[in-house]
Amino acid sequence: MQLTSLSFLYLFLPASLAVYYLFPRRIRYGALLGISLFFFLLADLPALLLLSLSITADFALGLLMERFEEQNRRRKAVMLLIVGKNLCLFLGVFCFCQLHGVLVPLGFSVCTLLGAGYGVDIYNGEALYEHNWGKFLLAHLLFVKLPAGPLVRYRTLREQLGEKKADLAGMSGPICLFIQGVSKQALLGAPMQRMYQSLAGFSPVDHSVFSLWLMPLCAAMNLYFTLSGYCDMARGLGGMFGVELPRNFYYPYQSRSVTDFVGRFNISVTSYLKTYIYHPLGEDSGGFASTALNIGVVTLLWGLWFGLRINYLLWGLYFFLLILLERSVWGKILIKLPTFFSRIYTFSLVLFSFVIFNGQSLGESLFFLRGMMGLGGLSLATPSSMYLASQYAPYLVLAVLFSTSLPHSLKSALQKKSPAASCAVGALCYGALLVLSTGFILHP
Amino acid sequence: MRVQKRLSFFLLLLFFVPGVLFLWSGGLGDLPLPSLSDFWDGATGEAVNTAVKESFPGRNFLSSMTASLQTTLGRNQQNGCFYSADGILQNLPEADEGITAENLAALQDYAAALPVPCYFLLSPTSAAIEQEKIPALALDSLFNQKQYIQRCYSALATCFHTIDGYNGLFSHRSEYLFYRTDSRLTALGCYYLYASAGEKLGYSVRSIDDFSIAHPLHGYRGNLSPLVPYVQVQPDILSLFYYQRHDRDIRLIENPLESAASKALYDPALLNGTDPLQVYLGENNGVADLAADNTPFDSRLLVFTDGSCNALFPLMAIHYRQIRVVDLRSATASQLALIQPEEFDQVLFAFSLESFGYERVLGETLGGK
Repeated sequence: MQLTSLSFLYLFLPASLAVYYLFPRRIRYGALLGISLFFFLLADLPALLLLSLSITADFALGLLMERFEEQNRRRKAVMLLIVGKNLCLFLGVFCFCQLHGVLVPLGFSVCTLLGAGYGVDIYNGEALYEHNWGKFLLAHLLFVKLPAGPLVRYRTLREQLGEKKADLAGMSGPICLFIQGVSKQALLGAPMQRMYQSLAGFSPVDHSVFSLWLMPLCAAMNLYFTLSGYCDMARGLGGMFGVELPRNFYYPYQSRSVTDFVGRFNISVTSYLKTYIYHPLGEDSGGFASTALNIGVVTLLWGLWFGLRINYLLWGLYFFLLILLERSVWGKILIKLPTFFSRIYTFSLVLFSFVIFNGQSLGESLFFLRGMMGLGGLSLATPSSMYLASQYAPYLVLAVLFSTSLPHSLKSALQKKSPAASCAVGALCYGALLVLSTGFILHP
Repeated sequence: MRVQKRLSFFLLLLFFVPGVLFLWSGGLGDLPLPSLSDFWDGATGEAVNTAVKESFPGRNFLSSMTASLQTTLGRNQQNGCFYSADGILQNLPEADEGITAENLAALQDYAAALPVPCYFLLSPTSAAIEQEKIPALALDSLFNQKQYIQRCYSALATCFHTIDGYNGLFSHRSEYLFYRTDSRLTALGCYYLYASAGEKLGYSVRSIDDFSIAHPLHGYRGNLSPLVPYVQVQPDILSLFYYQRHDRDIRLIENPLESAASKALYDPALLNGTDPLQVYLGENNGVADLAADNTPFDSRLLVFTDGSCNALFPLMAIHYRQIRVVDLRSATASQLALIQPEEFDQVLFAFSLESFGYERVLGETLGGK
């Protein structure tokens, strides 16, 4: 079951909200756990069983660590066991899926990394030992964040489960956020994906410099609107069930430097890597070589978050090199550049990065890069590429526009000027967006 | 705060109302009770989602609205078809070389063993003829059907008389040659094929004025309509050509290998059936005869076809004593075994490129025989 499926939107969600708010506040987490388990049952039962076992093992190991409170070496051993078990599971399942060409089980990366983080947090005293298995299970299996994150620390989730008072007025923000996420995915992410797939299906004869530039643009827009759409849905759903989740994307395509981009794109993953890898490694407190190594490790893992492929590793490497160059060579010049030029600089480099990201191999990425530069004897534009562009032009323009903060600024300005009018316009707009998204889901 | 509450209430209603209406109408009633294995392989979630999608309240309205919006935004292609209010045209990919070679080899083998002259007609699809309906930028990437037909004709030149249907259709491309919602030729399109075939088959083509044309069915939606659902395309008109002169009485014999019962050339009752185009050669029997009484002609024609131009054969029937039409898509092996080509004066293979280039329509039937 996907968050953008009609069965989720119009059956599962309303029924879940009704069930959740019918329960007394103190046991709502139990209702939410039941809802999450039912979601898993419909979406991916094998993953539920595997993850339940893994989470229960983490829970038991946490209690074991608590028993060794005064014995630091044993505590450390248990912590390493939790981290090692989760990382092995994470890598093992990813490798298995990669080798057998199957999808990674639902929520696997989010759950295993959360579990590993829990082990480190309780060892460092940054989180309390969990004694409630139900809440522990819920923090891991909370259905809203399973499809695409965000990746949240255990303690952040634990503090919120079932604590929030039901409030109809407070629901409007989360519902709007959820509708925004559905619209991002259905109205922009999906068409961009179709356009990209059409371009990727071109024969070499049909390709042109123009189509090769369109490809990374579509890929960038597709990835952004799909992932940020899912994250908005997760945040919106979280809000409806009393759990506040962090942003995962903050207008990454209007970043002013590559370093800035990495901080705005998949924020929760960057934050997780900083907390559990970059900080323990000593951040940038050592010399240049040590700092470079630390940044390198984090950036490469940031790339590998998307899967175990050589191109994702190279994607991370590309950003690592650019971040190093910005830190040591042209970072100071970038700050002085007018915003427009620094954004163009960043967006161009990010576009190139998507050639690496989407290539099936390094050779294919290099072929595309050469073509984009006008090398390789490709014509400037072919009728096929122009035809495809004409088919998707409105979506592409809207995608570029909505990837900036302009619509949000307009909304804020209206809200400031006339809150009542803004609310009425908001109701109409979000209602229309939901109807339109439903139409696009029915007739893609 | 009150405004926020109202907004929340309004938005929540948008989620609750369709679900309640769906359940109220018994949307999940038809679903079987799921088993553990259904849950294990995710079939339950899929089944529920399919049920909701199929019976979603206001589905047709929402889908039509979306389709109109998508068309307004520039979309004109879906499921391998170009579309506009003027019609739906299949965008055929490059023909399958392996299948083409098999079909050509089957034809060559068959013709080589026959003592009667063989004819071959390969008709193009609407995308090749009605190119003005296709977006200009998409024209260059279209499959070149003319070239393909010429290549096939060259390969068969030694054993077949080939009939140029392409130019016959192309020179009348502004007329109603192809259905707007179906991949097959209209009766008028078939008339131009009939005219193109006259010289090779040796009959003198009758003027269109010699026929009285009836239009018994308006609002026909053909086999391409489901590929482009919810798009507003003008429906089609079915026409029947009746030869008016010489009191020629042509009758249709369905399944002549088993029965000699004949009936009128066109059966109007079939216009109300699932495939109104069956009006041209009767229900799908695999083999049908068109027999003419009161005719000065003695020739007998055997036709192997794919059902793409059935309206052609009633027109040809005015020049023959008997035409036996074998639809290779539906003819059974036992029916094919009973066909004796030596008993006929001519053998015609009439196919659409839509089947000849992509299906083993000959290799598996004639080859098998």
